[in-house]
Amino acid sequence: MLLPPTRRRSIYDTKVIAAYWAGATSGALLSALSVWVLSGFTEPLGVRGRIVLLLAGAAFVWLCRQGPLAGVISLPEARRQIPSQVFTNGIYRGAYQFGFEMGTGVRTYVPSIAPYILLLAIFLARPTLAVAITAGIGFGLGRAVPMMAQLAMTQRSAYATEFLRGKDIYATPLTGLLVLLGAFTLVY
Amino acid sequence: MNYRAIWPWLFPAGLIAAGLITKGEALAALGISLVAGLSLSGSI
Repeated sequence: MLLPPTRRRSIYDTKVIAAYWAGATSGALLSALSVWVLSGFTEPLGVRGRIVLLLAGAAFVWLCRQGPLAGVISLPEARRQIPSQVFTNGIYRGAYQFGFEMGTGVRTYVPSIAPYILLLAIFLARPTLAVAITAGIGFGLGRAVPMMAQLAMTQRSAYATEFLRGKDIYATPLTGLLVLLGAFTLVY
Repeated sequence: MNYRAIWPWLFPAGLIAAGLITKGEALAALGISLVAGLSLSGSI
């Protein structure tokens, strides 16, 4: 936990979360831009081919993570917690590095299928650089929202409290479907 | 499950819907990346 379980938050906590957010956004931008560069390989594909590959890829990801192939085929992920040594150089730098590793999406556990489908969408859609950057910023922000909710929770925000309790829906296929739905806008 | 648990999802879902309707790639990209980031909230 980046934030201690206290009832009062200070400007210090806000700075820690800001550093985490900056790190998560940097990491997400690195991943998004790396995939964007690789997306040049999909140049010869037509729209139909991109849609077919997107659907096939999303189905494969679901089968491997939450379907019958779960435990048989492993999707790429680092099966480790981010080590606590990242905080040895100070809390702000540590929060940034922790956020960076979380933001890349490949340096720790990935329990949801949604990030894989997002990468597939960027890879197959071959979007503009601005769209790829937007995706990186969005992923970093999404990664930081739970921390922001923790910051808000002590201010007696019922919404933040309920959001942090509602973890059951995060890694469901519903989030993957939502990403797949939006991905059609990029690919089509 | 309280309805208040899903409030952060409403904004990105709205962005995705707006992206689909207007064919706005940036809107859709922001929406799906927010959802993807939020979907990992349980692992933080």
